[in-house]
Amino acid sequence: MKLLTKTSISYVLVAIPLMLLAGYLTYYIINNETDQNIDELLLIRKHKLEQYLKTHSLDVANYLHFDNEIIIQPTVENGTQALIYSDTLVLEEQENELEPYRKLYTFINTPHGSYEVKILRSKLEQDELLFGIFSGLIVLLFFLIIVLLIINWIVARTLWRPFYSILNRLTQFRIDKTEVYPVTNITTSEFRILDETINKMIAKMQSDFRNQKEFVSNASHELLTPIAVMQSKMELLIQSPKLAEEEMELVQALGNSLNQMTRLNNSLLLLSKIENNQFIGKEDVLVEGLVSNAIEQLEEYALNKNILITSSISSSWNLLVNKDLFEICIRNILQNAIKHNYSGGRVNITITNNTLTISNTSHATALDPNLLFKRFSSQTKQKDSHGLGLAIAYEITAACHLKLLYNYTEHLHEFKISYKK
Amino acid sequence: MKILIIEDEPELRKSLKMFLGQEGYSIESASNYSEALDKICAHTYDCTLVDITLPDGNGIDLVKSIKTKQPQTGIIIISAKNSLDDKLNGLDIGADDYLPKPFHLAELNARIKALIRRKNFDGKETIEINEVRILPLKRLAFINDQPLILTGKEFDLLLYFLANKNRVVSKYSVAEHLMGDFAERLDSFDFIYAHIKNLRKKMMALGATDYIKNVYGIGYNFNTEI
Repeated sequence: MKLLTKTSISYVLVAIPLMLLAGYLTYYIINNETDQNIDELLLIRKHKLEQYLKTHSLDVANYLHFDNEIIIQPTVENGTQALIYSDTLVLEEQENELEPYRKLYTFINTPHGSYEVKILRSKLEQDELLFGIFSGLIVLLFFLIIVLLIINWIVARTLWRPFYSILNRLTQFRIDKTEVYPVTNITTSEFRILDETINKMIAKMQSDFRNQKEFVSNASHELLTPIAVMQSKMELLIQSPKLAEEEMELVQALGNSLNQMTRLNNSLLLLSKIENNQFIGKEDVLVEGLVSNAIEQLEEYALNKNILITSSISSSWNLLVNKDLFEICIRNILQNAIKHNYSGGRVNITITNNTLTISNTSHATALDPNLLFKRFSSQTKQKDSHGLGLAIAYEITAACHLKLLYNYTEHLHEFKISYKK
Repeated sequence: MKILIIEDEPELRKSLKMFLGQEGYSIESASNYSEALDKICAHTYDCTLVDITLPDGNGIDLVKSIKTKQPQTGIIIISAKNSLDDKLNGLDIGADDYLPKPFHLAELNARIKALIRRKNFDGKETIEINEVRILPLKRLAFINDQPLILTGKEFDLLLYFLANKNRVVSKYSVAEHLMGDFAERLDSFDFIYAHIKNLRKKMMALGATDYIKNVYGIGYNFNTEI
């Protein structure tokens, strides 16, 4: 949920109970006030009636108050002077409806006798008044909240604008792509600090990233010379006719390790070259051409391992990529498919006009696709496998704006190259 | 045959001198740019090996100088910069071949021989060792004048062995020679043995001596001195 939506919702959530409470309080206060007014009016009437009854007879009094708002009844009982106010409903005969009235119930004692007196006053006006005030107030409050919400929205939008621009640039941030992170004009100090801190972090991150990349590149490059020296000495050593069988064994072991080291170093060099975008130049590449060349080169290797390579081309696929890179990619996947296979197994290659699929049988079950393309994460523990072949293939597809997907279906490990959508 | 080695790493220079010296070449070497330039100006060579990264200059410039001063000299770039840019650049300015470090000495040896053949014999050269005769550019082989029918890979293999005859060539160098970069990342080189078995069978069928010896797990030796 967006920040603005969230604040607006919390405003509404607070405003509604507040409005209800305010409404109730207003109603209570106004109602009380008007009741008091009426009660005073009723009391004045009572005093007037008292005066009146002292000098006039009851009949005259009754006559004067024919409107049923004063009901006087003589009583023998000498009532108290107590004034009892209450709300009551009276049947209005003309309209045959019950209407709210305020009633004063009291006794009047005169020298002529005692009277039980009920003085009534319609509350209809008061209710109407109350309703008017109340609804006016509610409408006012409602508008106030709407206006507040709009103001809050506008203010928040302006206030949070730098935040959103920082956020926007952060989401688009690519460590190897984003150039310099420009500082925007921010007047809010918190956002300025945020922006500055993020800039610092990014600068640090990018310099670390560059250093790390350079380190791998430099290290593998520097290793080439000693490896070349070792390899040349090894070749001179094996020329010696004086080597006994035991020494030959040592030389062989050394040679194997040296070969592994050379390959590992070559892979690291290649990876850093891909990362540094040193493969420039694209050309129109016919995928099946590269694939059939790779098959030809690896045919004997596969044959020796008793693995059958089959290919089916449903239509040709032309790609605009760096040929050397893409060749390495195909080679690595194909080598992988042969290497991690079993005797009597097979490798199937399928080419359509926008996909290349290489699938193979293997003793291994489904591999973790999250680890598969990671460097040095060989999942099969096979000797002579340093877990860079697929990582390289993956980096190449990314550099060629393609995607490489792994799938395990029906005991087949499937690697599929297709266009990035 | 005179060869100039331009290489700044002393141990590698020593290895190259030793290995190529055994081939009967007369070898001179230079460890930096100015020394190399002096030698190029003073003497003529059949072949020069040029390292691109030198302490006091760029090997590419040296290639250009050799090209202008001694156009008939064969040039092989040996560079630690395992980069395709260098390869294209080096070949564009007139180098005849490019061998990225680390390389096998046997491979370098074969390349030097092929280069000298191209330069000196105009493709008409034949290689003859006892009963074996090869026309490298026509890709023909004969045993006792009978044509030896080989696959492309078997022919490459025979040529490679002949270039490095009486030497032990490691199985890795054979694999790389036959398959190039495809030899990388392989977990077994047993398939080479199949090639060699076929080659031996075909040669012996025409009455050739069994020259190819297996050297205990390390590689092979095309031994003509038996």
